[in-house]
Amino acid sequence: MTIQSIAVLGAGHGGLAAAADLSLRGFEVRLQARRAAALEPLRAQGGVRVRGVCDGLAPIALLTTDIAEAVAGADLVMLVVPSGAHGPYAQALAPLLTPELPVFINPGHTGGGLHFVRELRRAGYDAPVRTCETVTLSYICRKTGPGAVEIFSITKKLKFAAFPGRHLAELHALIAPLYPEITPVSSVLETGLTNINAVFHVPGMVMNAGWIEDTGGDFLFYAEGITPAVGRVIAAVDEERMAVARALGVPTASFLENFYQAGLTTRAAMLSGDISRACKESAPNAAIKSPPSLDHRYIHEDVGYGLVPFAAFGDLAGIDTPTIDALIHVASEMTGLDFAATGLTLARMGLDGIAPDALVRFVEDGA
Amino acid sequence: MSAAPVKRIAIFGAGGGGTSAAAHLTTLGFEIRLYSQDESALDPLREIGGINYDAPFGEGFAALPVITSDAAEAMDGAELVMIVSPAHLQEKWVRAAAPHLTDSQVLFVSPGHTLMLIPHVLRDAGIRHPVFCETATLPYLCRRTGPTTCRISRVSDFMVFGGFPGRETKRLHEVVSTVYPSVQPFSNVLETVFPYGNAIHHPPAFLANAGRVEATGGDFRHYYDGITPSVGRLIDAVDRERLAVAAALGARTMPFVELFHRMGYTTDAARDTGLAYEAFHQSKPDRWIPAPPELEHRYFLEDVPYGHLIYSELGRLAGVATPTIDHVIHLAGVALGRDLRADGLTLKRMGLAGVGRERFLELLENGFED
Repeated sequence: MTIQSIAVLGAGHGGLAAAADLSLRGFEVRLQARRAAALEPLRAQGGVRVRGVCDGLAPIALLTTDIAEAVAGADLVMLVVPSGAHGPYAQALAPLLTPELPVFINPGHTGGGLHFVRELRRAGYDAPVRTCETVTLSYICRKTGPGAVEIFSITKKLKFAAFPGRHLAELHALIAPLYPEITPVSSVLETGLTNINAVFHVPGMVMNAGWIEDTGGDFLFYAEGITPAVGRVIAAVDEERMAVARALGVPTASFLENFYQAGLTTRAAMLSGDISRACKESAPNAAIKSPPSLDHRYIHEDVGYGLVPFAAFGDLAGIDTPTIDALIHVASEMTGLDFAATGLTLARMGLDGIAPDALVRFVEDGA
Repeated sequence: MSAAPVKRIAIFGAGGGGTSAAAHLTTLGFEIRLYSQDESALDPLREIGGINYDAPFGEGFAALPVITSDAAEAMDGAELVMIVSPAHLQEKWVRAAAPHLTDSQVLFVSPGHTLMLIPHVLRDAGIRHPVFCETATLPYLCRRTGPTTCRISRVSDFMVFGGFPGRETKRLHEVVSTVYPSVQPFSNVLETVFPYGNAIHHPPAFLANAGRVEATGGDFRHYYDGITPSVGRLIDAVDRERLAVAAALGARTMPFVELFHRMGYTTDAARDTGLAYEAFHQSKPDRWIPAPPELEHRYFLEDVPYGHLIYSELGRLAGVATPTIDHVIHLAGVALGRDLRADGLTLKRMGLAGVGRERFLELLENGFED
């Protein structure tokens, strides 16, 4: 089969970008938002205003707050929401999914598909399921106003995996026409453990917490905030992440290699081994300001659905992750939120009690 | 041991604290003998025969009869030997003083807050039954502003004071209070470890502003701008762990915010919130203090290995978990690219490796038997 109609669930930065891009490329887009207010400007202007890698007013076939209506007749469900919303969306989709309808989680970050399927099962869906995911969003984009989005670039060489993994080839063939940049990798463990946002956002936030709150984020997050000391903490997180991946037999590459491969820094910076320099020499990130507060996805998502599952995989593999643990704890004390309890633990990925050597089979077979 | 009235005081250390103490105590009529091993710090003072001061009690020149790098000369005839140095230099100063220390002299370390380090060093230097006393904090808010000048912004009106062995605290307090009436006797040198405020708030605040320090060279106000609500919450978490360790060892202390208020640094309204953020945001004395220009600074280099680390080590001894403190130690070390535990004040370095809680408390109160 080929995909013609796509249910895009979520109308934030990524959802709007995907809706506009796919619509302008001839797909039927059925866009769902949790809040009706988010859809009003789209109704008023007749679609999504987009500029950047594509330009124009992209018509959207269906605008709705009703997930069932969005999904009805779609060939693909594409979930473009913060990781914290994967659970509620899984519960809502449980009565609507069929074995024929694949789910594309864009992005899955770390453990997105595992978490989504676990929540589907908990909500009573017991038929076969096919999910696939990217590690990060397929666009670098920002909402620029009501119903308007700017797409700065399409993410390059985007790691893509399926859960259960045995559906990879088939799902890759299905999604590649939408996103030619996706690159299939061994499993959702490989995409999940390549989540570089978690590696560098959290040290950047924790070690600039005072600056962020004092100025409302009035500095350049990457170009100024990732100083040599912050870079050293990022490097320590990265070492721990790679040690976990190696212990689980998952292919891995360093933050700098991934950052360079994604087109986000210079070759000279990558070769220097200096993470602070690589961030300063990141042209796509050069003008990106800091978040205005710690109440932001760089903390909520990248701690709860990045560092917490990294540490969980470390526990599973018997690898110590002292720097990751320290950042989870410090971020929790700063925000008053207990990320170790609310984030993506082994139990919430359906992996509690699993032996390391059974993990590879589980992500392949889904059981 | 007799408690002769204090007239002559040897001061070890010619930095901001040492020169300020020399100036202040001279104005009070004591005879000061200033000692340092750093000739370049002493030479300008020798040339003018003393130190110029600018202080709440006036501006002027304090003539110092002895300025020397000879410890024996400095200590000759002194009733009180006062060590005023960063924590990491205390061991060096105590080793210099130990061979000349007499039974009638009182050894006073201000600030001390290094727990059993000094008794351990004195034992190592051949003094079987060491006696000394200390305060938790420096008596002054001060700086050495030039080769021959110091500025004192504030003379402390409350200092937590303890002696070793603890049963000697009362006698030692009677001596030191004739010099510093604001010293308040507590049980022992465990109770002087906990109220050292810098050790509580500098490491977490510095960690949470590390990027800004490096990006701007410290171009912001460390306390007023840098300690935001989230940073304050991290300090509060450190403080809860410190209080739990103190409680488990039966040491009297008070929450940081109360201590800060008691020392005159913040408002009643801020104290009533119990929040570090409010305490600093409403602190007049700290309001304009700039951030350090780099991370290679005592806020990490002293207050982690001689501050946070002691709480962590005491927590281990007392069986109390200190996760926030331990995580801050770890992240500060990674940020600096070095192991801050390795050079720090561990139980081992204080001769306390393998010592249990009961034996530790017994040592604090009664000292060494052998």
